[in-house]
Amino acid sequence: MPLPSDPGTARSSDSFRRHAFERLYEAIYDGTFTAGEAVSEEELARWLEVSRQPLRYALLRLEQYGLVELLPGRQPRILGVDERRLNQLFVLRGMFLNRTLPRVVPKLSDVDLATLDRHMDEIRAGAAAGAWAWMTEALFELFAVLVDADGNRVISERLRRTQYELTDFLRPSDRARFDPGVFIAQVQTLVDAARSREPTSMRAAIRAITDDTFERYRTQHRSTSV
Amino acid sequence: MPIPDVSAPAERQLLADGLYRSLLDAIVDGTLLPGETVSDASIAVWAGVSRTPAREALDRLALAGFVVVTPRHSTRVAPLDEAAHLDVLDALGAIAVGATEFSVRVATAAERSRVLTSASADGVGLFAPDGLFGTVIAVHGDPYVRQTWDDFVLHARRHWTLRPESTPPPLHGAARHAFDDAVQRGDGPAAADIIDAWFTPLAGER
Repeated sequence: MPLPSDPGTARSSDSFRRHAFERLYEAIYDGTFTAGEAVSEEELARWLEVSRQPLRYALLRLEQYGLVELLPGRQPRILGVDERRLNQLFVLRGMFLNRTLPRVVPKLSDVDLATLDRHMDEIRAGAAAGAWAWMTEALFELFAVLVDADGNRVISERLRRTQYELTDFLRPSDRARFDPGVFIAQVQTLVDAARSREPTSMRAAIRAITDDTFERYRTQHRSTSV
Repeated sequence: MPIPDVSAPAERQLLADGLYRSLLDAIVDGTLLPGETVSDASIAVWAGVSRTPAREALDRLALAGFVVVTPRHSTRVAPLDEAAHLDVLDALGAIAVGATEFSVRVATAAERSRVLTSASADGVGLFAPDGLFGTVIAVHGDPYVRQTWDDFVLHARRHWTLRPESTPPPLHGAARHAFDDAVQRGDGPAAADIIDAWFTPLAGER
């Protein structure tokens, strides 16, 4: 087993961390682990053929993405992406998009609007071809045009974090979960609102999408807090 | 005398978690200053632990943005960054406004009275668990929203501690009365507008 703890081997220690993170990330998605499963760190380290440090690093990053639960004194638990988790991601995205998108609309340049159209075409073409990775990438690029124009780097970093998990949502195996037609129509209303350059249109377009998310949270996932 | 088996994973984990919390507290309350060097070796000596948990605590702090690794592989407490602070406040505003709109609309009578009795006389206190924003987030109830909120609050609190002149104002007088009225009516959008108006000048021109 490699022992990359010597400070002189920083580069190779980085590569062990990357390996551990990527392999574990794939394993969560390809069904090697099931959601809710607890796995000992020893077992994981042996399986990945890394020492404890790169493994811990990988687990901490996966915890950030909400894919692993780490509690003191307990084995790491694989969370995976279920309906509840997806709703959480959409709720937080909704809050950030509600704040940034309406105010960004007047700042968009003609080049930005043309870029939005191009991504919209890609989304349509990707959906028509059943090329989900292509479609997903175009979708995230479309949002990036809007959020980058707003310029809040903290919010854009958080939105990017949620995308790792949302990518999974749009995988072919989960096709039954959503209707591409409805979804494309929703994204088109955002692009139309951007073109109108009116914050109120954008607010309405975003609301039409997020109201549904918030309502699903209220009726299906919220547990009474007080 | 039995020798504690510190190599047991659970033990080591508790050690690393405790260390992470202590270092985080020291950074947030300004005991460790922006730019100060924190090496795994010095932390190990300071805390009387081996370098492994020290290294892990630093990794977690780096992932959370509280320390940065310089190109020469030394680790320093993250510098204060005014622009990033305003972005954090704006992100907190997004969550507070969104949570208010939702929570006020759906709150039960008990939840409503908890919001009505929450503290708002102190600007920083608004963000505490029993403060107005903290209460609204608790009533909203989503753990991922809460976790994101807590992450950002730590960054903001560190900034306010080190730069007291940037401390936010309270939410009192007419604004608080209007907020309470909106809560009693269950009028989420009206309550959210008041929170929005509080955050907007704080987070700067957008």
